Amino acid sequence: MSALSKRFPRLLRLVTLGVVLSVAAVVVPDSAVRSTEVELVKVHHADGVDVSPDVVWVLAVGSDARPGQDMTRSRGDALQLIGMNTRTGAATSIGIPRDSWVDIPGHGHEKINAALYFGGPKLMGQAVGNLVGIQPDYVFVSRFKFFIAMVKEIGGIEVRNPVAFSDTYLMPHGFKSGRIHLGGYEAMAFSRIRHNLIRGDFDRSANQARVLRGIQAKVRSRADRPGFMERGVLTVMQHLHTDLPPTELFRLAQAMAQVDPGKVTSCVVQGSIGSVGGASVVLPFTSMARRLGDDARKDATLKHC
Amino acid sequence: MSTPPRTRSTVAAILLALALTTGACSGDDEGKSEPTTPEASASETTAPPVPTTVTIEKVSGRLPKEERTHLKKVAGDVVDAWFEAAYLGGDYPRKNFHDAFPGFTRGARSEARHDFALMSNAGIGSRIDGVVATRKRVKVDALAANRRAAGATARFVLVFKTTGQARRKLEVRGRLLLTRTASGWRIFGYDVTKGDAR
Repeated sequence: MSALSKRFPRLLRLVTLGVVLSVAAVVVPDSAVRSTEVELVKVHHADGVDVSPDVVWVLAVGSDARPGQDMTRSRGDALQLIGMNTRTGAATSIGIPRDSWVDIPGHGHEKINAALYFGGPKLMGQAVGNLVGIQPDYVFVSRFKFFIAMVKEIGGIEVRNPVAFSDTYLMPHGFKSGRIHLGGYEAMAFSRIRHNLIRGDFDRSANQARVLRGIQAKVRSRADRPGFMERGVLTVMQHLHTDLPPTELFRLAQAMAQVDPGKVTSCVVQGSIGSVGGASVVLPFTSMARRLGDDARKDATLKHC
Repeated sequence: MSTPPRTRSTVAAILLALALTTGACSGDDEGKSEPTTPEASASETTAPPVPTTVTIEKVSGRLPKEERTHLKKVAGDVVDAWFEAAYLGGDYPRKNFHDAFPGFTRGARSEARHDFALMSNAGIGSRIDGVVATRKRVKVDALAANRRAAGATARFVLVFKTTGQARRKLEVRGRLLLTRTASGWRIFGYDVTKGDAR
């Protein structure tokens, strides 16, 4: 359990993926050269935020709950363990293939995304935490509908797509390679499609990280708009399952808003493909998962995958 | 942490457009406990101090009028206290900026001390003998929950002139992040720039 979890009586707090990637913008006054003396003026900038501990870990879960289903008792379709260093502005995401075959406390071996169904966000966080060796301080759960609305609300995002791909049902026209714009629905599809990806679940997890970066970049560009952060937090409170007090949620969101996109790293836990009971599963390289956790635990920075 | 300067944003333009009329006032408190009290002016004229203009701007959630009024006062007081302690108040030439961050949380105070020269006049304090504020503007955006303010962003502009060896006109602007705590409203984060004013 981390220091933050110890500080607050409830172990895990449930908020939204939407505020995870809020990044602050900077207001810089123009420089000036006075006529009486030539002076090259450097405008200084500083930012900082007080959130303890310095490195906060958040598990972002995209639930596959359909309309009418409890999203905290469905399966986790997207799993990204995000670390944020509030002192340096660095952040990292460790992608977990949803079909990873792991031991879920109290339920034996199952696909890791079943942990959400069995025990809600707390068990989901525990299962990922046991795999990577970092127990998240927060678990964020979102669902398709809100995710689409959120991306739409911010005007869509830009991502760098390394390989063109499509999906007969979700995106028949597909996604071109290169820098592309994604609207709300496209961002959801980009995060979910795996069948036509060369490395299936692993590539999908990497795409999820690309979408998170895209959201981060877009939010960063708008974060200095008056009331932007406050509206975002209010939306979280109105639409999502959370037991986080508003003041703490606001503080966390603002802390996340100071993440520097240039200091974001990401990796996906790799594994081999296996079959259990006729179902295709990912047998995760647990040593790699632990290595990534060890690498990023203290500073939220991955040196390499 | 620090990041390289970037271009002026939309909010900066808005803030500038709404900038207050400038004026002259004292910047040398000579040990007075009331930092806003006019003293001998650096411009050698006595003029009323520039008031800090505070307005409530964007409110997300329902916030009754009395709560807005209360937030306006407490947020303005917290920001103004920092203006005074970090830039405008004190006995110049001034070397001690230890108490430059009243109203900051412990962690935010620690962060700010890493940015001492920017977040206060520590970088020039020993080379000036007076400070005169010419503009003090604060716009507050609020997050309301259960009809109470839970958090706020104070967008501010502070412009002041210094006299003495380091004679300059400086502008400090940016955002202060505030939340309600058990001991009142506190600044828990900041995003601030400082440079020569036009």
